[in-house]
Amino acid sequence: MIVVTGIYPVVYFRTPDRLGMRKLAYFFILGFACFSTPVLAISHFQFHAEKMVHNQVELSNLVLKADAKSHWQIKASATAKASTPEKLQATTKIQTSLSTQNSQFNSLRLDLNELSFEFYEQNSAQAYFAENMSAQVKTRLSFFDNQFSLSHLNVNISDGQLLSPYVYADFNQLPVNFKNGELFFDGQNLSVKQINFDDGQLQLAFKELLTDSQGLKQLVLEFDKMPLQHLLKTYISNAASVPSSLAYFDIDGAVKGKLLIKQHNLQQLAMDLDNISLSQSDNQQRMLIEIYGLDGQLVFDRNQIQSSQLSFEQANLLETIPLSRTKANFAGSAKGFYLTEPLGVPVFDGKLGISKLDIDLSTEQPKVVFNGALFPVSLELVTQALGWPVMQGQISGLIPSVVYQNGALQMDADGVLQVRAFDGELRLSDLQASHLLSAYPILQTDVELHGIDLEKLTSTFSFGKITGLLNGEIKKLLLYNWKPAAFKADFKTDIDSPSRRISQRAVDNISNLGGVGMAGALSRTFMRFFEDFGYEQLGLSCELKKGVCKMDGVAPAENGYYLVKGRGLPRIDVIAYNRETDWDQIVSKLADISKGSGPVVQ
Amino acid sequence: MKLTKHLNRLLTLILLMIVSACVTINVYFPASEAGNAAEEFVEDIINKDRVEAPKDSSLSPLTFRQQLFAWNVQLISGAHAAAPDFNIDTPEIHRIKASMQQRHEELDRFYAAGAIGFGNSGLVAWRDKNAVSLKDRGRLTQLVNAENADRNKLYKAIANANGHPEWEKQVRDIFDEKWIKKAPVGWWYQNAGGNWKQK
Repeated sequence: MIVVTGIYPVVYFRTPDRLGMRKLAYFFILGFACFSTPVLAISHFQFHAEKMVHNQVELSNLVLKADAKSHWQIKASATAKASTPEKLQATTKIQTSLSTQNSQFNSLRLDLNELSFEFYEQNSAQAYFAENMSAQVKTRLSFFDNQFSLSHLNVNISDGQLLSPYVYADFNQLPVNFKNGELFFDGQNLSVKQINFDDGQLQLAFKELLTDSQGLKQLVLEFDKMPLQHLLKTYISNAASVPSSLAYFDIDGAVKGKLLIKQHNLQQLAMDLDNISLSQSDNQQRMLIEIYGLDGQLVFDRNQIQSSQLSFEQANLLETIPLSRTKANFAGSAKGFYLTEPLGVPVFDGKLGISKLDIDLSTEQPKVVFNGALFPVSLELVTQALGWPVMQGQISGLIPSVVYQNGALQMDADGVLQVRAFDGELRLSDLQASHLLSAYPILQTDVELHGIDLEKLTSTFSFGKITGLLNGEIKKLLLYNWKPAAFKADFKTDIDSPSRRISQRAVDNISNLGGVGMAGALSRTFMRFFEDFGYEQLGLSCELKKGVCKMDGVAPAENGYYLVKGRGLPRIDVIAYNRETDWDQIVSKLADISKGSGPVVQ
Repeated sequence: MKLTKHLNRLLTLILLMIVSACVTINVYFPASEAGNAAEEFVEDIINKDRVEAPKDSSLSPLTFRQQLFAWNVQLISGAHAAAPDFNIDTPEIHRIKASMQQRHEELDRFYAAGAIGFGNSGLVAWRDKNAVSLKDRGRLTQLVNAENADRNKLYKAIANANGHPEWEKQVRDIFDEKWIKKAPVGWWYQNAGGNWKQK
C-alpha cells in the first residue's frame, strides 16, 4: 500500500517479509524523480521492512524516512547482517542520515554500532576480526561516474576492538580519528587522495592510497615524531602474525619519515632516527641485546642503491659484553646491504674491526657475511664480566670470514681466534654457533693449547703449585648455554719444560678429586718433609659425552693410568683407576678446590 | 771410628728411606651412574617449585608438563632396530624442548579453555576461537604459530639425530599419539577423521 500525504502526499510502503533491493532502488529513483518534477511533488515518505534480503546482505527492522522541503533529507536505521561462507560474517546496527543541501553534494552521517565482523582472506591464513566497534562517519557524498566520491570525511572510532595480522587496536582504551579524508570508492577498489589519522599521540598522514583485488597497491605515508613505544605497545604487540618474541622487545624514541608503497611493494623509505633505544630480552627477562642512543638517517630505495648511516652510543650483549660508540656507513637496496667504510666496534678495552659486512636479501633466508679482526681485549675484563676466576692475558684474532644464516653462524676454515693467557696460546678454530643471542645458545669450536705456564695457571686457581709447560687440544668443544656439553680433550706437559715440579698441595688436590679420604695422605708419611716433587710428565685426557667423562692419562698403568709420572727421588706417581666418571661431580670438586674449601683433613 | 760407623748407618738408613720413597697415590674418580644424564635433564626442565605429581594422569595440566618431558624415558623403541630412538638428546633438541616448555606456561590455560587442542598431525590446532577474547586471540595466534614451528623443527631434529631424516613422519606420528595420550581430562584433540573429541 502506498500512501502519499501532505500538500504533498506521504508515501508509506509496507513490505512482505522478503523483498528484493531492486525495488527499494526504484523508490529512491522515484524519490529523486519527484524532486526534479515539482508537478508530482511528494514531500514525505516512509518505508518499513521487517526483513530485506539481497544476495548476502540481510537488513532487519529497516526504517526509511524521506522528507522534501527546500532539500531532501533521508534517514534510515536497520540492523544489517552480511555473510559469505568461508569469507565474511558481519553484523552491525546502522543509523544513517543523508541530506542533499545543494546540487553539489550530499551530507552523509553514518553511525555504526555493535559492529562485529570476521573476514578471511582467500588463499592465505590472514583473518580480520572486529568486536562491538562503534564508528561515527561524517562526510560529503556524491555519486557519479559509477563511483562514490567522499570529501571532508571524518571517521571516529570510539568503541570495540579490531584484530588483524599486523594491527590490534582496543578503541575502548584509545579512540581514534580519521579526518579530512578525500576518497573515491567504486564498490570494489578504494582510491584515497588523502586522510589523516590521529589518536592523540600518533599522527599519520596517508596520501595516494590505492587498493585492488590483491589488497594495498599504493600508499604514501608521512609521519613526524612517530612515537615508537606507543606504536608498538598499542597497535602491534597483540597483532596476530607478528613473531611471539616481539612481546619481549622494547623500543623508545620517535622517528620522522616517509614511505612509499607502489605495485604492492615497499618502494622507498626515508627515516630520521634521533636517540632511539631498544632492547630484546628472552622470556626469562634476561637482556639479550640493548642499544642506546641510536641515531641515523636511513634511506631505502627498492631499485636504486642509496646510502645510509647509523650510529649508537652504547650497546650491551647478553648483559656481559659492552660495546661503545659505533658509527656505520652503509648502502643498499632491496637486494641487500653492505658497508661503504670499514667499521670499528669498541668491545671492552679492545676493538672488533669489521672490514666487510654484507647482508644478502635476495635469498629466502637472509645471509650475512662478515670479515674482521679482533684487536686485543684484556682477558681480565672478559673473565670478570663472565663471572669466571679472573685471568690475566689477552684475546685477539683474525676472522677471515663468518657466515650467518638461518640462526646459525659459521667461521671459515681459515679463521682463528687467539687467546694469549698464562704466557701461552690458545687457538680457537672451526667455530660454529647458533642462537647466540637467545636463551639457548649453542657454540662449538676446536681448541689448541701451546706452552701454557702451569705455575701461572695453578696460582690463578689456587690449586697448589705445579711448574711446567702444558700443551693440549680440545676437539669439538660443544658449549650449550655457555657450559661444556661435549668435547674430546687431551692435555700433556711438555717433556722439555725446564722446570717440572709438583707441590704437595697439588698432589693432595689431585687425589682429592678421587674422593674424600685421600686427603692429606702424603702428610701422614715422611713425605711431608718434602715441599715439592719432580715429575717426568703429567697429563689427562677426557672425552665428555652425556655427562660422562671417559678418562685416560699420560701412560698406562696396571689396571689404570698415570696422571702424574714421577721423576727422581723422592718419586711420586699418581695413578687413576676409573675410566668413566661423572662430569658434574668433577667440576664441582674443582670449584671447591679453587675456592680453597677442600675436604676436611682427618 | 764409632762415629763414622754410626754416621754410616744413619746415612744408609736415610739412603734406604729415600730409595724406598716411591709413593704411589691411587685415585678413584666418582663413578658415572647409568641414566644420570637423562634424569638431570628432566630435572632441569621441570620447575623446581612444582609439587610432586600424583600418579593419576588425569589430573591438572601441571602433571601434564612433567609427563610431557618424561616421555623421553618412556618412549624407548623396544626391540625394533629400525625405529627412532627418542632418548637421543642433542643441544638442538634440548633447545627446542626448553623453548616449548617455556611457551607451555602461556598455552596451558588455552588448552583448558578448549580454544586450541592437539591436531591430527602432531601440531597444535585451533578449535574454537570464540573461546578467547580478541585481545588474547592475537597473542595466542603468535604462540600457536611459534609452537608449531618448534614442533616441526623437533620432529625433523629427532629424525636427523637418528641419522634417518626420512623418519620424520614416523616421529611425528608417534608424537601425535603421545600428545593425545598424555592430555589431561577436559582438553581437546582431533581424531584421525579430523573430528574434535574431548578427553
